[in-house]
Amino acid sequence: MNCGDARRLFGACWDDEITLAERDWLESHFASCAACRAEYETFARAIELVGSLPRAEVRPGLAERALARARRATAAPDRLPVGTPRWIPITATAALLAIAATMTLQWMGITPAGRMTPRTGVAAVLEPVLVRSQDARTTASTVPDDRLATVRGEADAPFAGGVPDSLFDHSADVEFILDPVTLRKGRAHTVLRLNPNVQGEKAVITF
Amino acid sequence: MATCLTLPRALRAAIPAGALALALAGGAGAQGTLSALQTDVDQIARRARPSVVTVFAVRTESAPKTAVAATATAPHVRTRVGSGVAVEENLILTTASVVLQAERTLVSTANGLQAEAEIVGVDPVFNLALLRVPTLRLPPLRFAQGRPARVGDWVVSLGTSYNAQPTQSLGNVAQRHREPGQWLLQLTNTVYPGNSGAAALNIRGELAGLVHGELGSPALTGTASDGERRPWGTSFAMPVETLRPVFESLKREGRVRHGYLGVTTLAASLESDREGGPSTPIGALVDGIIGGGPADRLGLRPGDLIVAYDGERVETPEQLARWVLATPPGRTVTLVWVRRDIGYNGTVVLKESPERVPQWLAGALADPQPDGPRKIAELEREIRRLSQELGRLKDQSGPPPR
Repeated sequence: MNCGDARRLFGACWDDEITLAERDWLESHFASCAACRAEYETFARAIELVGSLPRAEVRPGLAERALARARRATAAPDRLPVGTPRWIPITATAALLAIAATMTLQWMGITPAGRMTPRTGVAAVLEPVLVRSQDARTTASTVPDDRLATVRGEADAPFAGGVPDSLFDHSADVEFILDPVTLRKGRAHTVLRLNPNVQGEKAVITF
Repeated sequence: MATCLTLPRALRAAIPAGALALALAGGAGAQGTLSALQTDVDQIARRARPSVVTVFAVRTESAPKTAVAATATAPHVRTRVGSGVAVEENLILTTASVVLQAERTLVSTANGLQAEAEIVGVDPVFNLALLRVPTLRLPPLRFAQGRPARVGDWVVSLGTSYNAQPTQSLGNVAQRHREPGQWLLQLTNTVYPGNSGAAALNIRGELAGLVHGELGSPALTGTASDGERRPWGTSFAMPVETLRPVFESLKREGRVRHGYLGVTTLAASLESDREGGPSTPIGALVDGIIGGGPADRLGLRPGDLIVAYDGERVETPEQLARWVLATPPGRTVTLVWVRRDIGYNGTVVLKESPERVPQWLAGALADPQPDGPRKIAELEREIRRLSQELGRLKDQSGPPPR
């Protein structure tokens, strides 16, 4: 693909309508092509500017009237067809053959390269790494899953009673945090942790 | 001639066959779309999972006094567990609720590494905390670029829950909630205990938000009779447009600068006509004015009822305080208040809050005051309020007859 291909993807990229593979390709192209990167930034600024323009008010029904006029202008003459063009049966037969061929290929397990097959060439997944050992526990750079609970449950571990090892069997001294959010009259906010001295209807708040 | 007659007949027979073939091909296409969706979601999760960590915040606390044991028992260790997201090689974003009051903080990565973390900054107003892990190099997630998340956008949430096990769910942005100074995304993703601080990713695998929690109070919703919290179904995340400035401020200064109005307020409500009916909150009643503050310059007085802030209806003092704190200092805001049944409005530039964390928002950091001084303060406020009410009634009734 070249710069032209990249620029054809701009609109779809802005609308999040491209695949991850296309996005990967586009980003790698941007990394190597300053002109396209600058072009995309200009494109994005233009879209934002257009979006921020005030909307022009038009008379109601303008779209319907315009479409009706266009239909009238392009309508076929009001008369019966003289005969069936010769290309219709040929095209229909070709289309049926193409559909049959596609179905046969799918039935045989042969699919065109693309979305059905796993993508290749994606960036490698990076894993966390230890920069320098901190203590005996962190020197275990990769702890197998079956040993993880044991390592965490060591006597010197800071966790109260060790990290819980099943979904519903956990110590009361370990709390899994999921903040409550209130929703009132279409407004949502995370419940703040208030000082115990200021709770209640008589609370006095200085801000 | 015979050929001319036969061909259209064959065509007529071919039309249903063609329609059937098209329908079957359409089915295969739909299957391909679902398969592509699965592939995309798997790819996003696989790439982002190493950036999501489990955060353990440990604190020692003394057990509360009970009727049986008059004295406090020996201190014991409590651990709060949440999720976190690497946004730079050794910087992790999580929620303030996870690490609040922690004496020691540790993180555990998806590949089993564990390391001590230091708290760079905590902000209880935006419920965000920034951790640094000097001994780990994490693959950071990129903040979402381009347009803000819209209603209907797909979101993949990645976090950890019990036993530091990974959780993942796919959903959409259901609604965008705006309050002065901040946005919150309502998601259809299911979240689990321990998901505070989890990543909300867009379809490009970028960080679109940080999961805060779920709808409702933990004491009420989603709680089974055995006290175990169950997934509830409506979750909330702070979007990147609110998240990013807070992150940058925490990284730069270890704190977030909050707005300051310079008022002390009380709750005000209207009682229901029905006996035992609910009372309706009507605003923030000004109890005191801090000299030289923005409210003082604006001309607010004790007894005024603040009913709107920056175009939003104020119902409670806590709500107003939250909005003021979330507004950056230096910003001009509009206030509407009521004084003796007459409405006033004006604009004022907010100052910077002198407190890093406002006292009223310090959570359980401060020990509760003894009952005596608090009771005295309450009585003083009540006397002040009654005196103002008496003055107002005297003004309305005019001079006494001779």
